[in-house]
Amino acid sequence: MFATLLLPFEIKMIYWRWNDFIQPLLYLAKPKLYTVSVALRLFADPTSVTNWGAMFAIATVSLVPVILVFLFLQRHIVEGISSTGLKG
Amino acid sequence: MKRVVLILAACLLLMPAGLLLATGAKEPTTTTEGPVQLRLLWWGGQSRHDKTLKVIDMFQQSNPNIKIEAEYLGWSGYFDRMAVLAAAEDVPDIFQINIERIPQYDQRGLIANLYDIKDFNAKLIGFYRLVYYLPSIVGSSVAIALVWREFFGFSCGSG
Repeated sequence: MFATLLLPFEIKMIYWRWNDFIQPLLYLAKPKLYTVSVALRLFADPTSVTNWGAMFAIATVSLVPVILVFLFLQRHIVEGISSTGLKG
Repeated sequence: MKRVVLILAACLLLMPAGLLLATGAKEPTTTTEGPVQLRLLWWGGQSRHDKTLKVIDMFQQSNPNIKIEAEYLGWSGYFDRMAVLAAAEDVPDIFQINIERIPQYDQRGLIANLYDIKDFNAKLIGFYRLVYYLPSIVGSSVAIALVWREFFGFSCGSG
């Protein structure tokens, strides 16, 4: 029961952490430690030059873990939704 | 130490005019002996990162006792990070800033006055003269405008 309730939340947490921009921006000083959301912005500088090609390439690659998490855990996501909340 | 900062600024002539490198105010004013560590923060695209890192390498080769710690970001979030660093009194020794924001940081005493450096004007030969207009804005000169290309002999593009 708990697992059914908590797993979708944990899965969402993975997505939130993966997408989080402002916290890694504020806390990570070394460029080597940057998370993908911060590192992606390294390509973009609207005040001079943005390397769109590299940026979109890495943006695409950065989707892979997100998709993998969904593919392998989608059963739990669906279960969590169907066992809680409002059902039509 | 401040002299060191100035020389480094001289080496970092990579960014377009109108962008400035300011020196943090909190650093010690004496002692050039022994290993020195300086933090350098800038924003930019990939080409600017590449070039600036290259210049840092060049600078380290000619100044082995100065360690430059590079921190860099894209444009988005740069001044969010700066605001947090300022609040934490952890402003880097050298950072990139644009001229509109200088008074904001200067008023809070976060930027050193370059005219406190001995022979500042003499060392400034070859720099973009924008630095002389700064006193009319903030009452002191706190930053060095970046000229490039002519000084270094290689083209930087607009990175």
